[in-house]
Amino acid sequence: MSTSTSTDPQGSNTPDDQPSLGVPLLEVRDVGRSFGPVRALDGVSFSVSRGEVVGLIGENGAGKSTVLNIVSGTDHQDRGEVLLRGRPIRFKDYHEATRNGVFRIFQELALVQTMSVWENFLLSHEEHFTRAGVVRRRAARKWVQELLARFDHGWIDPDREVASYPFAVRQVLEILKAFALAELLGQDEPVILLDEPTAALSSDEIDFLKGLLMRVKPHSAIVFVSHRLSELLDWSDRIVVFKDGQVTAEAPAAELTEGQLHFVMVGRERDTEFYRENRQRTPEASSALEVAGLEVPGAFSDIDLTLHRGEIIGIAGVLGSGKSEVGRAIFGALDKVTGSMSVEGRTLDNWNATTMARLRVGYVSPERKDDGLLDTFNVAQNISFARIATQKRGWLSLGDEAKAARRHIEALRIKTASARAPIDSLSGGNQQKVILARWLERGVDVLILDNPTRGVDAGAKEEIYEIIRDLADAGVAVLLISDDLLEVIGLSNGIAVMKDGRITLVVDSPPDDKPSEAGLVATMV
Amino acid sequence: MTTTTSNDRTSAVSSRSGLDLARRHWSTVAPILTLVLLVLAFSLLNSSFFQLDNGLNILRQSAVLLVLAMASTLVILMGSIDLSVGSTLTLTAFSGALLVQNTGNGAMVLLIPIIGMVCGAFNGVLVAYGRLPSFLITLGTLYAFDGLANYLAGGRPIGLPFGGVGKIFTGTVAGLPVVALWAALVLLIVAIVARYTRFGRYLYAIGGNEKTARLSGVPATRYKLFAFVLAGFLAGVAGLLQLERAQSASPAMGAAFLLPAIAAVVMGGTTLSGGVGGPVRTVTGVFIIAILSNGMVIAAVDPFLQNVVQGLVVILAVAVTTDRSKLTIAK
Repeated sequence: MSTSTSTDPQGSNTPDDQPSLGVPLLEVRDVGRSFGPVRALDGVSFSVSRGEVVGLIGENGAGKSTVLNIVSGTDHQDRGEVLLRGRPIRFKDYHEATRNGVFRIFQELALVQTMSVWENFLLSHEEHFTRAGVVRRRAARKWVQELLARFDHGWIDPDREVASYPFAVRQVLEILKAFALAELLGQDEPVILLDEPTAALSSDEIDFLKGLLMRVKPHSAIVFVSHRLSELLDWSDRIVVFKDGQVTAEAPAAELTEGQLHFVMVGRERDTEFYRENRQRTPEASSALEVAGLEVPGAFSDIDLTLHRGEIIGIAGVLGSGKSEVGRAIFGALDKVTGSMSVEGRTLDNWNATTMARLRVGYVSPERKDDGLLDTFNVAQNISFARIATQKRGWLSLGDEAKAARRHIEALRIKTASARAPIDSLSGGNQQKVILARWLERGVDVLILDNPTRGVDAGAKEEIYEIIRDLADAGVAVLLISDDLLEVIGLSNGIAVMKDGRITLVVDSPPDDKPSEAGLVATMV
Repeated sequence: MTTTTSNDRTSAVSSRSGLDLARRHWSTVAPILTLVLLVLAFSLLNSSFFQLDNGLNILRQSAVLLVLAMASTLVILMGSIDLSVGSTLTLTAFSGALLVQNTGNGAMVLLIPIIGMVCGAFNGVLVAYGRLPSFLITLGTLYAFDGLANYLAGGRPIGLPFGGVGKIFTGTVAGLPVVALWAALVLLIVAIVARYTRFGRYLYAIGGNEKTARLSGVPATRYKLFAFVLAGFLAGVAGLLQLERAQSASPAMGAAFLLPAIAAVVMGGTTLSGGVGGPVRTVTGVFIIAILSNGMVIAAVDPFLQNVVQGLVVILAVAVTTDRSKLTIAK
């Protein structure tokens, strides 16, 4: 039974078991998926036909990756269905998905670093090269070698450890593995899912990948996720726009321009009310933080920034432009930082997160789950932690901790059962407010925010913008790093655009004369 | 059968939080329940178990283990592990006995915890500043400290002259064994440190999410060292108590404590991944181990079989207290 197409018997309506040409290869029908209180997908539908490339676009947290997870069996929907060649499917894992012709190129590298190239290609499909329970190494190696040669990467040694190749090559290997498996499993009409496959690739490799896709395109259905708008338009036949877990627009790529794409992606015109632009204030003359000639080899160089008290400075740039690294470096959370730094007029020769936190500089990481939350702590303990980490006293006052927590919960309207509720019982937006409260409770003069509204719903976004404005009113200098260009434009007094590790443009952003998105996007890509 | 149909749905999301809540309480309740069941079972098996004398006996037997388990608790809370606590106990006890022997001054035993701090500092520097895995470092020092102790003593036990300072660690006060009172004092102090000090909060934070702790301004490297130093100090206190209890230092004195010390921590509900649990919980684990071995001796269970039972109880306790909803991979 293991080689069956594993479909729901009730779903097969075609009498001769042959998919009719009118049926899309892949169809997603009204799929919903919630994680606790967060609705990651809320009734998503779209389809991909044979010979079609469909580009998915949307902000982070819009649900693109979740839908790919569901199609490839690594996650499961709460409602709705996924149809493959017209039949409902629900793969129990990725392995089963591959056996049915669904191949995924993962955003995070899904190769076992310590194994050789050929072993990785075969992993979990060894039975195709097995005789009497033993893997026929030579035959398998030869197959991989031929395949690499056929796809113009014959110089890759199938025996070498995957980890010994640079990141970009590993990404190519991962892509090739998907094609290799499709071939090995005899899937001549594969569904190929690519989740930001080009983020780490050089332009040569991107061209190679495009060539590869165009080669298999006539008999495949391809779903492609990318933040690079130009690429998305160039490669796709049709664009599906995701926003807050829903499909908000769908259009042929040929009818769209980059500017329009950005507009439909964000789903609204820049709204002065949304970003509280009437509250934008003139910064004070004194500077709170200054960096000059900041450099981290391999990430960015020549970064000069001055943050005045009460000022919001935005940094815009695409993924990989180095903007996130700049934020971490200023906070002292990166190694090998060189350049000059002064906080409130004090020059620092070297600094780390501890010295910065003591100097009343705060940092909110873009990865809430990874290094933002203290997930074993309750709400109150999360709020108090930066204060505790910078206090001189060795003793804690649990009473004060609870009082402070209640104060912030009320002031920031954090929705939680109580101050002692576990932090993972809160929604993403409320968790983010807790992290902001952590720095409010500590008291800061400078706050570095990296994507402070990522994965946060629109209502909570507005509340966070309100908090940022309050901070500026209180004289706090804010460095706002964000993938959300409208957020950067709407909130900032001034904007630095980064590209390839350098600041390529610095513009003022006064409330009555905000720079245009299209203009900024042009300098970013 | 590897076919998939749409019937095998994952359970409804709403019921999950309720289950989580039950689990959270369960990990606290389960060890206490185990303890109660053990007491009941042994009381029924043998009438001499549930007696005041035997109760005091259990207190006396569990005192050293409790102190040593406090050392393990601190390190495990922080998400690291210290396999060398047993060897530290041996090395510090031997060093103390040698000091007394060579100086003729019985008060030299009071230096034992300081020697423990040196051992802990050795581990801590390598783990925190050398950025090496605590499991491997302390696996190394497990052998090194033990070997050093035996080398210093020439592989022979060293007796302690009777009387002197030793009196403050032995005997009874108001009917209670003094060694147990010392252990209770250590417990009290460690529990206060864990709950009411910045240092304690750092341990939980580093164990929970070291990256976030650092990004909040915690000098985590230094505090990791402190935790190992404190664990070494406590292992030294355990060495001191055991030395006074046995009135001699013997080559294998610490080895028997290592695994029970870690098992007690985990059985109490402090997770090996760090950040969850605490000293008070470890008390339950210590008593489970102490009562189990005391009860089995009284019930005349075959000594080899006793080990089997001890081992199975550890497995059972871990299976019951581990929150598997948060684990995706078991290693």
